[in-house]
Amino acid sequence: MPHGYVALVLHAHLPYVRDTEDDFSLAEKWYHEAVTETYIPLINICQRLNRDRVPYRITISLSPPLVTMMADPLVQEHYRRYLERLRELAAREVWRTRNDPRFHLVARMYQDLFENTARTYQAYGGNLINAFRELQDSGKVELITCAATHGYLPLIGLQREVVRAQVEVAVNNHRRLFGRPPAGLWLPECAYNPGDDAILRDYGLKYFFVDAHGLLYATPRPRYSIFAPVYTPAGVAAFGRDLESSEQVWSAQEGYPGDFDYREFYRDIGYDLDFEYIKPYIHPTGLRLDTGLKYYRITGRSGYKEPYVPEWASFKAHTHAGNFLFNREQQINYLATYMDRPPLIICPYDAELFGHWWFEGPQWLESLFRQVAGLAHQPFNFITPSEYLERFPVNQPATPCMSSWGNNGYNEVWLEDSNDWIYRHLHHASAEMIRLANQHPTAGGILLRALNQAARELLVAQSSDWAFIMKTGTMVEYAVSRTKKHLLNFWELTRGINKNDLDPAKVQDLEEANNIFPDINYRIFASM
Amino acid sequence: MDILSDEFKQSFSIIPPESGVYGMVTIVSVLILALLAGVFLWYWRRKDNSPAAKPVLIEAPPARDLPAKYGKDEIVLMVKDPYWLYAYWELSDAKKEELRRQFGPAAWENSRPLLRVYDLTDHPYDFLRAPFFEIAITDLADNWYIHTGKPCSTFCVDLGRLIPNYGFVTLVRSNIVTTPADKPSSVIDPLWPPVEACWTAVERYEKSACPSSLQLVKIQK
Repeated sequence: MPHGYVALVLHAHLPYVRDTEDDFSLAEKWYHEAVTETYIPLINICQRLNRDRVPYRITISLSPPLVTMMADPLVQEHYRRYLERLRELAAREVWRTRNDPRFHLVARMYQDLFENTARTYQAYGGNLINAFRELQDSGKVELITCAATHGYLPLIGLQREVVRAQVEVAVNNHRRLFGRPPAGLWLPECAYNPGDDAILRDYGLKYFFVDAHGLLYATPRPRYSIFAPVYTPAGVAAFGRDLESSEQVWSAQEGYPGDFDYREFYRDIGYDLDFEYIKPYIHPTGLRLDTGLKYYRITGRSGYKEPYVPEWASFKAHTHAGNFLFNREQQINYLATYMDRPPLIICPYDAELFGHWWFEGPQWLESLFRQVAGLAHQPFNFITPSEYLERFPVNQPATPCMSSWGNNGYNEVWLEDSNDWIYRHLHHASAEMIRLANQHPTAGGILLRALNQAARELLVAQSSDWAFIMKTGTMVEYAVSRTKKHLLNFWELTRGINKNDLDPAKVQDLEEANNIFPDINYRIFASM
Repeated sequence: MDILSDEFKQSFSIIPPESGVYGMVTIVSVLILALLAGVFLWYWRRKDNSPAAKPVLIEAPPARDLPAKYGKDEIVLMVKDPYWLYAYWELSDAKKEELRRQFGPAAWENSRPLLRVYDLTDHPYDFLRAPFFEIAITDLADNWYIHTGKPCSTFCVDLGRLIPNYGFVTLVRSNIVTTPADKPSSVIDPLWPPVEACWTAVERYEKSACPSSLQLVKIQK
């Protein structure tokens, strides 16, 4: 038996930003950047590890809005166009920098990266679902789901039906796209409310994750603190985030991503280069934007920046992976001395940290798996939560405490001055949706379509992202207007439903504008 | 230094010595102009070098707004953290009328709004014996952050009015919520006694608290 286990968990999520109207949507650009910088590199890493038969395990949570966008033909087409422009820009950059060795190497690196991205994208016909499904079938990658629209369950879940709907839609959507039910669920923002576990159990979900204090403050006190899961009263396993490994990656001061050799996120040629030259690759209105081509390294704490040296950065990623490995080994050896079972270290991260924010993150990840595999002594094994539960089916019963991984660990990020006003509206809309679902046990024709669309609008309004953006203070108007737009659409539909006066053209417009969860059934909101 | 003084000599030589006061004015204005041009050039170059402001996402604001009221009589209680609750409420005109019918036509105007916060932790559902405290609010408010300072406790809130010579009248009662813990539980399962090493291993990190994704976003901005 190994000394211990490490479970790497990546949570991939973006709000539903499919845009039918705008030819150039800034919100959809979030998706484009994440595909180029995070999702495709992640797919490539796993493919390379599979090819080289490296024994690794990783758990990836793919949120329903994200996978729905990946599967959507319009979003796929928009991404194809985006990638074409990006490749064109990279090619021009290679030419422009031909006499400047400092930047030429970096430009070439980007060109290779984007060409490779295009090859992967083409190989799967533009549908990344196929790529993830293939990885899942390899047995090395465990795909799990998240709540339907990443709703912050402790705050939107005033009515149990709402939590049930968020979970049911997610599980059905996952099964539809990946051909099998998810083993576990990533609670949006790790936000756990005691009692929600009973709903997870009803949908066959075996586990979820909480932040460290969710387990540390559980009742009764967990025997192994965060180094083994507990079973909640509903019999679902709750795994706790490890603090030590989180800090190594996340810490703003000592964390790996802040290393001076790594790429600087906030120097982009979209801002730095001559306007006429860069114009075709920024916003059509001339608004300067990030292009994704960034030529500098972090260099230091001041504004002064030196050119990026890919080789140095790769070396650092490799070194940091070695450091992570070493620290986990120490941690596990220490714990294993005292524990009567191998300790389990849960390392969950936002997937978009890897590649998008921390450009070298994917290299770090791949290097970590390869270094562990290359060691003669196995310091620990990588594992998925499902495998762990198979090996250790007996766990302590305990109730984790209400918690989240947001600032200060509870609900305050999503419930404060900037965003508290939304809950009144979300709760009332939910109450109306539940009433309608109960009132119409069966529906057909235009009534069915209107009820389903009302459910979609409500679900999208429930995304935790809007409250989060309001809190961060940038792009607040966008978040406010998305919240209002979906709720107003919801009330317009319910007015038509209640008055039995539905306009088919209007319903169709709304269906086309917001087509998340094509096979949704409004009855998910019905009371049991 | 030599170059500078040469420039000065040149600029002085442009102006004939006999020009007097006008000469001085010209010198001063030339200097000011040069200074302005310098500042402008410096700013221009700096502007070019530093990244421009981040773009904002534009989404057309909806034509209509959400309803201010939903025609309900209700108060909803939510948990913010172990020490704070949040409540929002609304009352219909019918509710006001009801109060007036019961306590006289000026009952609404002569009474003061109050939140009565019951601590049901030790007295589940027993509102008569549960300890409570009251918060004086204003008629303009429709939501409130309530400080309880009590983790692991169960609360319920009544929105009501204090009627002179009568007392507190409940108008609406909230849902019941429980605040989360802020420290490890003192409850020990004898079958699963804590392993001390597992607990000392996390102590170092427990209070340092990693930056949340929100903080990370802020640092990056």
